[in-house]
Amino acid sequence: MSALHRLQRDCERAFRGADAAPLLPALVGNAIPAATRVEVYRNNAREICRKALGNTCPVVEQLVGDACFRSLALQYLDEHPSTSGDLQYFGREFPAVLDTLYAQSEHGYLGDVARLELAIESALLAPEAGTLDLEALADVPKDRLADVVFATAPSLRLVGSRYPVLSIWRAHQSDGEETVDLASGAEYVAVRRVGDEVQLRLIDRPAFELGRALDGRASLTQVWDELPDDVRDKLTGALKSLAIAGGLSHFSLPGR
Amino acid sequence: MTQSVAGDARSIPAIAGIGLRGPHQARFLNDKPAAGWLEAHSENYFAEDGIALATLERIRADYPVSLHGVGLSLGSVDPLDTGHLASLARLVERIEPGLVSEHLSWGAVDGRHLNDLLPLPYTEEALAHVAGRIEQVQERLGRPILVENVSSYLEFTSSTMPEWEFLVEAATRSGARILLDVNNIYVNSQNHGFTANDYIESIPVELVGEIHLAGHTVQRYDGHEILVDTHNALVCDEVWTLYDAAIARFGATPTLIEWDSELPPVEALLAEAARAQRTMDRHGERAA
Repeated sequence: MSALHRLQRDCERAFRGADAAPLLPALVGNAIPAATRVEVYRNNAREICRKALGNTCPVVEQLVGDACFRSLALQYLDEHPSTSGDLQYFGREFPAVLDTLYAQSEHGYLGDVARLELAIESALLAPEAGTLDLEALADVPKDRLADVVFATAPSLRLVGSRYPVLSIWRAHQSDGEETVDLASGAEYVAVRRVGDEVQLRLIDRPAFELGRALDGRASLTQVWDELPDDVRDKLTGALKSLAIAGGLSHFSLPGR
Repeated sequence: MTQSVAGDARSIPAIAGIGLRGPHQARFLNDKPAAGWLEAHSENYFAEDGIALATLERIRADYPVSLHGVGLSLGSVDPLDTGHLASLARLVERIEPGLVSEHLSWGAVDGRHLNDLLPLPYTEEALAHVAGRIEQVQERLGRPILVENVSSYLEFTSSTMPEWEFLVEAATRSGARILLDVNNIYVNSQNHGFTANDYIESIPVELVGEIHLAGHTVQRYDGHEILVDTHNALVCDEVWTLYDAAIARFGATPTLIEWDSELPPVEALLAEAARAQRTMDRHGERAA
């Protein structure tokens, strides 16, 4: 290992909060001790992580408060160190961390709120697409409908929760309602990009399950086995609901 | 005063500009405030089909734009991230920026990223390594880049040359130019005890292609004051004085006001840019 590699490895460990002892002899100590100088970088590492997570999940930050969010960011940094020079996707594992910490508590919704916020950020990075041509779909012979291959919108992100996750998120926007009844039940959300904005719409569970099963592009025949029985019974309504939410961008019919 | 929206959008004029930040984008799209040029953080626009890049392209139609990277980790011993570099190359091809810059620093080792701009030891080993990496980047992009001096809060006992010599050598050996961050020079001079003007005087005039100005904060650690490059405040008087010395030496140079945290209205950044512009104009009049 080169001297430069050894030094960078010692820095990385010390700045992340591990033992700084191996690094200290490599640092100039003068009026300000070397250990104090290391602390500046440790603080920076924590702040960079907190800001990155806060930019992605501002509602979670509001919900738990500043001190708790700092503590969560520190734990996240420890468990999921960044693996890229681009922080855009740094928070990917944050919902799972929140689930582990809070799923069995009265704040069990936090992981799903984070999922919704990650879905919004992800949709912003995705291409825009047109919406399904329902008139053209109506021209497809009824005996061929099961063969139609549907494509979901490239920016479509689906978030389902046993909590009213969209209501919670909306309550924490500047023009949001003041209260949310956490006992009001599950919500399913279709997130997609529309022009320069992201649109969030409530959909029903069959539409949510169908969208997840289509997983980009598939025919109803292909996804049939994956769908719960009660969704199969409501397939037409689910397809319509998903289309109205802008979740389907186009379709094709093999052989036509 | 020469600031305007007009001009050749493919080159960065030797006037003052400001950093392009998300909350200000709507202003630049709708009101087109008179900024000389804009600098965007490259990584924020890597998503090829996202809203951010589409917005930057629209702004780019009205303003000269430079691209400033924060995540390439030029000085890391890890292999250069070819995916990151490919994303940067695609962005450069699409935006056609007037300048492309990165930091003379490292931020990752053994695949673990701190996403910080960490100082290198000023050694021959580090110099040869980082100069080679800058060459790799320039070869991939098909154009020279600028490398920026970073703020630092520690020094390594293994350093065998002063920071400014390391910076000049890295640029000279790789064929890059220098993005001279005057605030970082001031911050480091206070944190490490050297004379900031000596740093300025040691940089060959022809190497400097851009200057950065920013605010910093004084933080206390264990009773010791350390200046930290936080980009969340006005440029301080001492840095303005140093900038005056820099312009006296380098002449009119594209100068950027950086502000990243606790972002004020765009007018505050434009006011800082106007102050930088007045400094350049004053020296220009003297030279004439």
